[in-house]
Amino acid sequence: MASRSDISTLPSLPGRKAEYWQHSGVQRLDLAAFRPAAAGPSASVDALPAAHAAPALRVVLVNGRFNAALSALDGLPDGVTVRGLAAAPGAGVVGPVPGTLARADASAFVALGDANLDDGVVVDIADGVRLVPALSLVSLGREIDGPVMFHPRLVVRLGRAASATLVEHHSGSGACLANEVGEIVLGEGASLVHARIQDDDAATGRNISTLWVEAAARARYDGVALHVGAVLARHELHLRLAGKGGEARFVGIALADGTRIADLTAFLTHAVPDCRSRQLFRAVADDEARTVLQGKVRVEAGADGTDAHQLLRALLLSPRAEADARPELEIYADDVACSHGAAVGDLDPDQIFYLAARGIPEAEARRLLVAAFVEQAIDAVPEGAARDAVAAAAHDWLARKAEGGA
Amino acid sequence: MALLEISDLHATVDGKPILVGLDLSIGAGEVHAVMGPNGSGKSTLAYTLAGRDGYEPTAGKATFDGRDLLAMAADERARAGIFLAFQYPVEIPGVTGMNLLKTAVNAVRASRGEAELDAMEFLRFVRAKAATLGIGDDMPKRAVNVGFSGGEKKRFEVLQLATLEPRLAILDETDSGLDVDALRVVADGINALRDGKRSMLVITHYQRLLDYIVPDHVHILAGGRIIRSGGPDLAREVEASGYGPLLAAE
Repeated sequence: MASRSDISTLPSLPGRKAEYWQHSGVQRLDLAAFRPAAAGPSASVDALPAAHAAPALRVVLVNGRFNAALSALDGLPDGVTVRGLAAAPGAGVVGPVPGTLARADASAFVALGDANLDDGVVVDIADGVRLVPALSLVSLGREIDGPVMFHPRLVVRLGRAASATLVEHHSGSGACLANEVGEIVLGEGASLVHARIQDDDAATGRNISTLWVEAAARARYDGVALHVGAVLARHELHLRLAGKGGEARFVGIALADGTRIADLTAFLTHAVPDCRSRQLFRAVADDEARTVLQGKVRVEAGADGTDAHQLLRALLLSPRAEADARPELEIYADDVACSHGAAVGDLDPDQIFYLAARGIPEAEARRLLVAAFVEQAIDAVPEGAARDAVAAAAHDWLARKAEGGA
Repeated sequence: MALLEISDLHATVDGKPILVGLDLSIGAGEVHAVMGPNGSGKSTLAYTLAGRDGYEPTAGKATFDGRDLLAMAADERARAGIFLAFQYPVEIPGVTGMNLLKTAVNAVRASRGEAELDAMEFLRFVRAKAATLGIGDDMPKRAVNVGFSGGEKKRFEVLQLATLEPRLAILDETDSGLDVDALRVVADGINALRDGKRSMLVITHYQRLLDYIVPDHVHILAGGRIIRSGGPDLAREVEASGYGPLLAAE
């Protein structure tokens, strides 16, 4: 068992005034309270979320460690490798090695992950290879004699014109701090659908994710991040459209109740001309929860023909809930079509009355409208495994809320 | 006792008196039209009866089937059998028409202690109703009123009316925003629901709608109360001479 963390080796976390971190709640995180998780505890197939239990392509991490026994990778086609990071040789990879995209100076959590890097997953998909069915990545967290932290690294590289769907599902029980750093490199014309479902322990789980995505010419990244768990959660996306004709879509859904904090932050950079990006954020904050939506689009000089839109909407269901929405555009090119918008509000009383006038009780009308609000974001996710998994997790959260009373 | 019995009803909106002593009695199976100029309190009457927040009854009484209507919440009134067809139906993105109809019907059934409807059976039931209204199968699959034309919105209101089968339908300016063809379709749908038991309160500014839905009784609403009542001829009088002479006679 590893000893309690030596405080002197821990980076200091962003303070209350650090830009883009003001509302994140990480200031209340005491890293010293978490021990580094040693070798992953045992876990059985029963521990896998239902959606990932069926035998398909599956890679499983337990406390950040690649778990070969729970993984199901026999069906991988030629040209696709999925390995634990510790076992992945640095040579023979199609793109940059870990650390090329992720910048430790960008976030204390990346520095923390770098300093404690012990395992993770490397996915390589060769040129022209289409990976079907979807690849599941299940990250299980298990508290061991007190709070633990682990720092898995995810590296995904798609070669030219390769395509895949990756569905990440984070499911922790107990006081775990999962600090994931991800790097995704998309070759020319490659296409990745990437869902990240964070369903950690709603009372004691913490989940911080920092993801870099770089898309070459005509590549397409379709990302969706969903928070339904963890008392403190942040998904921070840094996406760079680095080649002409690239396209990025990001759907962020934060569903928070109790005293949870759920943060979705995305920095999109249009570095070259003729790329397109769409961002849709939706948050629901109930009880004393807080949601944070931050979306920034940066259009670099010369990136003419950029087409970038982002929309942030948050629903406040309780007078003590809090929602922060920050859309931002930074444009250094001339010929661009960019828009952004943000709205934070309660449910529409006209809609509630319309439903009441059809006999639907207010509590039920509110449930229906909240579900509809979330459904519209789910509808923006590409059909298939990613949408199904996001819908299932979001519907579970809505059903739990319905059972718990309006 | 009449199905709906309103006596000396006063109501305010934002503290401003709008209805000032309104009397109206609608028996089972009767169709009543309330006509009035702009600002006479027509929509306030509809919303006060439906129980909308902000439409505050301050004096008088309204009973529905002998129950104190004004003491009931909006959803209770609907489950008791009052349906309001909106002048401006509300868009509800993300909720399909079928989901709305199913949730509404099941809410009524639950309040009566009845089991939920079988989903397939209900689908067939709604499709059959829709067909009689010239509504295609696709409309209930779309989000409620989102992207609907004016005619589609009003037809969807009538589909809800036909599905929920209320005892009293309040039609608030159902003719507004409709061309003649759409008006005929909507009116045919409403007339199909006249079965001698269901009551209707048709609220309109223009006589035009009453050519298609011929009322048993016509009332003129002005200044927040009924100033005259009569038969269908009264509507034609308004059509011929406007509201001026009626108001002047007051």
